[in-house]
Amino acid sequence: MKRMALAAAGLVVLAAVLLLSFRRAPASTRNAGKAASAASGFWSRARAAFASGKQAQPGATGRAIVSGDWGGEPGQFGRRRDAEANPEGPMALAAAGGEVAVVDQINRRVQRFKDGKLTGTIPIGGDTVQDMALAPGGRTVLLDRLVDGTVQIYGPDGKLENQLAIAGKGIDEGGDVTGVFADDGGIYVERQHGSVIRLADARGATDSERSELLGRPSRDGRFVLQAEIADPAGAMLVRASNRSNGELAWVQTVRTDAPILHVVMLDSDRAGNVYVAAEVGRESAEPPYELGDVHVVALRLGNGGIVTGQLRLPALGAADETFRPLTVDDDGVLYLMLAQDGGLQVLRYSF
Amino acid sequence: MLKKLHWVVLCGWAGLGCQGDIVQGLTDGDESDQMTTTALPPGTDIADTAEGNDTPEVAYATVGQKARVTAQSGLHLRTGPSTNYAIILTMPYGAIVNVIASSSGWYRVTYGSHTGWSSGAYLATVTSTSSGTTAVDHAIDRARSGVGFSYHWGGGCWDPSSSHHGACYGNCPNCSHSGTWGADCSGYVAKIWQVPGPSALTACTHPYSTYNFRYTTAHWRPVARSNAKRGDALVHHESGAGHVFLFESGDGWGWMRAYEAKGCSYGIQHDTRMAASNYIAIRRTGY
Repeated sequence: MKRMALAAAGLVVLAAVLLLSFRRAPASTRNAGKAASAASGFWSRARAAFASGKQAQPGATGRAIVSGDWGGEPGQFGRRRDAEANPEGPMALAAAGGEVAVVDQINRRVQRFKDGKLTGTIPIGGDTVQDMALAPGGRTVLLDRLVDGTVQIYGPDGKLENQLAIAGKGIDEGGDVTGVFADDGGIYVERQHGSVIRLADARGATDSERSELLGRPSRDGRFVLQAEIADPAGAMLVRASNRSNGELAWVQTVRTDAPILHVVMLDSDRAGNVYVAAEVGRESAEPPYELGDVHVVALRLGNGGIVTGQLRLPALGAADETFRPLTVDDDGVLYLMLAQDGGLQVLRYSF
Repeated sequence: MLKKLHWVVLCGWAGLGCQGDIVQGLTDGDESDQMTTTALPPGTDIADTAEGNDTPEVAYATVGQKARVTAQSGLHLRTGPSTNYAIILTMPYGAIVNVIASSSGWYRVTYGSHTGWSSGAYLATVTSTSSGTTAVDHAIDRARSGVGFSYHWGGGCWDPSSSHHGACYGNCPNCSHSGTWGADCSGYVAKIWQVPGPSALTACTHPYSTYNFRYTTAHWRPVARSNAKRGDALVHHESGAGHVFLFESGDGWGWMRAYEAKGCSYGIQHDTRMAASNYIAIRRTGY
């Protein structure tokens, strides 16, 4: 009996030592230009596997904070499922200060909700807006990359303040753009999930220089972020570069529990955590090679890119095209927009 | 063994990865020391890459000359000569770059107004004898020539020399259209693919619907999304609604560079988008 107790105590101590060593030396944190030795490569692999885990948590339970039928009434959402055309529902959402805003472009509006109730509507000019960012000062920034080819800035009063041309220095055509972002430093569009181009200052005044950043600005102002699929079988690379000088701060490989279809989120909170999510699934071996076990894996990365939380979320579902179906707010609460037969839901999750 | 460890970078983006001995993914030698070996997805082959400090087995690009991007699904242009460096943009298959320096299998190149580094394994020196035009290249040319024309429900024709692109109003099929030229999604892909047979771009035909593309195999067949390549199409059809678009390339997120007759409000577009999980990939016979 004593022996068993000693053995158990030994195992606990060993586990604690291993855990501490993993935490002390971030898994794959590296300085740019430093070559990792073979030995450190082994430990990086081991720590990365430990840090990221092989399995997502069992399906996380979200709380529906917005629910609306398909339709054009206040609180409802527009959906288009024409024969022989691209099916689409609301393209994007954003969250800040306890409010959630949804781009309801089919109904030519942005709807804002708080505590499940509609709190405001911004009428927008067209039905081809695809992305949105909430800017400091209560401004709402919309991306219409394909038809108008502009970023539209609406003031706190819901009135259009400025329109910025997308095509120009750094952007050959609107279809290259993969997101719009706003922070205290300006308003930006992202090119092909790579660099971002600053189009305006934070108040919406055009920036004729159109300077580039090497990734999406993080909300704590320290980094610019990029993500990419490193291994379609289930690994993403997340990279943070110092915003001040562009040098690599950390790079981390995170794994998913199934092959990756596409990355669907790269975001951050005010505390410096980074969030990345991918829709994953397994392809049938027989024609027509349909996908099964489709779901979303979302991960939270803390200091140095160490994975500190993960969630298994529902599949994005319908064939409807979406552009930004997930987001987090300043406090790291995650919101998922889910199109279903009956209507649209926004689900809230905490890590 | 080294090659097996390196495969991950070669298939660079999810869902649409490696195919045969040609790398389909965003192929710039992505690998980091924390990678572990993983079972290859079905149909995936192992390709060589010029990664980090490794010496490439074959030098494909030449400093001082022009080179062509040979990765079917595009090639990252990065800020430095390894995958530790940030992505500036993704160059499409066939893009021509000026090669200005090299370092351990990576090449410093200029592409348009951008300068950065790319893996040399997916660059081929352009020679006066290289033609390289294939049936898929012609299909992409046809697709490109339709961009900017209107969405026309039931339509499938356009004249690349015409400045009259037509216009669509309302919600289809109860939409109205003005002008001669335009296409819906299936008419556009059928014309690009030239199915069931050769047909002038200006011949207004509409031989197949998304139902046909999804559920029949007249002149095409399903392929795994993980094996899809440039010139394939992604199709979805459920409960009377459907869409089909041409796949050109991918990006680091697994999003797709598409040519599509997107809808009445959009017209025919060249854009980067996600394809929902219920889209399947199909390949034209002969592509």
